[in-house]
Amino acid sequence: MSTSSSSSKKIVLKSADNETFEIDEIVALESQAIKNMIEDECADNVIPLGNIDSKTLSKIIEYCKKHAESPKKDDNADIDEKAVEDLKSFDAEFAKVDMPLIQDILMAANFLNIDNLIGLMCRTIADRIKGKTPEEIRKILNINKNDLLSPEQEAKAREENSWAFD
Amino acid sequence: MSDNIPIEVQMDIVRRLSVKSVAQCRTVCKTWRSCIDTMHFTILFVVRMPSTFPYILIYQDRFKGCVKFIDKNLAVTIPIGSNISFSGLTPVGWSHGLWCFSFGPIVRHFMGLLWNPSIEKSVRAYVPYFTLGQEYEKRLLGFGVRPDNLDSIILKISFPFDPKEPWTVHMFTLSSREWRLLENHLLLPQTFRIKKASQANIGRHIDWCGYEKFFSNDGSSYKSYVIVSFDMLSNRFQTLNIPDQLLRRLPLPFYVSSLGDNLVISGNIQGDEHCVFCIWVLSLVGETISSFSNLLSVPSPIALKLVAFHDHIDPIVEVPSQEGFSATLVLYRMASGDFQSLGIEEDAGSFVIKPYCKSLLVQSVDRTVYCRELVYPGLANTTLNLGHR
Repeated sequence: MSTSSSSSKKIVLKSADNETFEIDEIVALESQAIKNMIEDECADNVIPLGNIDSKTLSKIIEYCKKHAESPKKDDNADIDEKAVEDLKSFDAEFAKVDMPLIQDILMAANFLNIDNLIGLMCRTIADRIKGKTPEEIRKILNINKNDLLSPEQEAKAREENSWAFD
Repeated sequence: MSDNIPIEVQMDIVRRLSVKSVAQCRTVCKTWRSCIDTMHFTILFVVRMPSTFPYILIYQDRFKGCVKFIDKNLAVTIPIGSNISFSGLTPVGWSHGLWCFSFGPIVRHFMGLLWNPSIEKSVRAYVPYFTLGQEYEKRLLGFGVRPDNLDSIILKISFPFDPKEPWTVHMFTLSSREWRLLENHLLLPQTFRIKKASQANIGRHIDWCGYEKFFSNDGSSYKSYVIVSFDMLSNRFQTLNIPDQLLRRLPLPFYVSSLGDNLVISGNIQGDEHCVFCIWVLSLVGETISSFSNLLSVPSPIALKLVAFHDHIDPIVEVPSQEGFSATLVLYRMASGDFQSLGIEEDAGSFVIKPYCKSLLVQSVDRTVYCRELVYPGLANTTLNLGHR
């Protein structure tokens, strides 16, 4: 599974499960972390990403490709509305995945420092826990059981904000 | 939540929720609770200004304090959820959605109370008195929220009756939970005084109507009016000179308030038959008044009082009854020149209207009562009906 289009410079990313992805450098530059590595010339031909699996990585590349192709807001003040709308609907479709994958993408986006993607994933998760009870939120996000409040602490926290639980 | 997602990123999710959801999220897990209960998260959540409605209305009904919403139909609606007794509370100021009241049935300004209606929480701070003699000095409280770190500030400004003596200013910051004395070089010369009837909060400044008192050779005195401004970042007082051509046309003394980033001066110029109620809007650049314009000048048989602006343009004014004990709220439509009654009549001079903002200000503060160096230990133990929310 590799991608090649033009004669532009290529970067190869290697996932935790040893799958390699060849992508245009311009796509890889969406990641601030990779950009820094390239600028510091500490990137080898192959960049190993030991904590990102191939399923997550291919999603991330899909996102970066789309965003690298789209005209940037600050490049041109009057980009046509259509491009903006197009990117918006891409983002909306992109986020329609299950919660474990969203969390994997968020984690990877944070590691790779892709600002827009972090924002998109945070927004998506916020939308999914909006209006949910704390119990439901714990389940949706699979909150670590060791981190739960004791019954006394929970009662106190509820009492402090009793108006929010009416 | 995967432990691989750093807590900052988790909080980036939570900060996008409503104030009510955030309050519920405090019970999701310990990590979330302790992160939400920080000033850092309060800043991250930002203060959410409503574009229009609702407003919060505070007034007194025969000395009984009341607080209500004004909805989008300009109707005064049900009371806001709060178990604070607003009786005996005098509004000092409002900034970033946070209200500051002074409380003191026996000793004036005995306590400052900060109230965030969006999370139904208040915290209080005792105002320090170092000697009993200070009870007899003139003083006022000032209030502001620093725009850079959302820290709340209460000022206690004291003037001795004898103008030869310097001011004393104590400043309380909620982050330190302590009062400290401001050094003399930060204050104005003792010939200056501040009118405590109103304060305005604009950016990093708290502004008041002030004056400098001069004595002529024949023993008579006169006052030269200025704007007194306190910079919350440098903790320095300064004066803004009012241009002569404006000063000649202002009601003296005047009330101050704000409209966006502009300072608003309002009041009544007394004539023989009637008075003229006027509102001036001043643009400030740095420490000078760069321009000014007259928003409204209307003749009125009785003195009116500016309470707020609806939609950032139409003044809401208090119109006293004939006897002067009660007053009604009236909206003045700038475009048509019409007056519209809001249908509420309560104690004259008691109306305050501010936007209802959603924020977490004072959420991170526990409800400790701040009480240091009090000279009135007996009063400190008095049970005060201030509620515990």
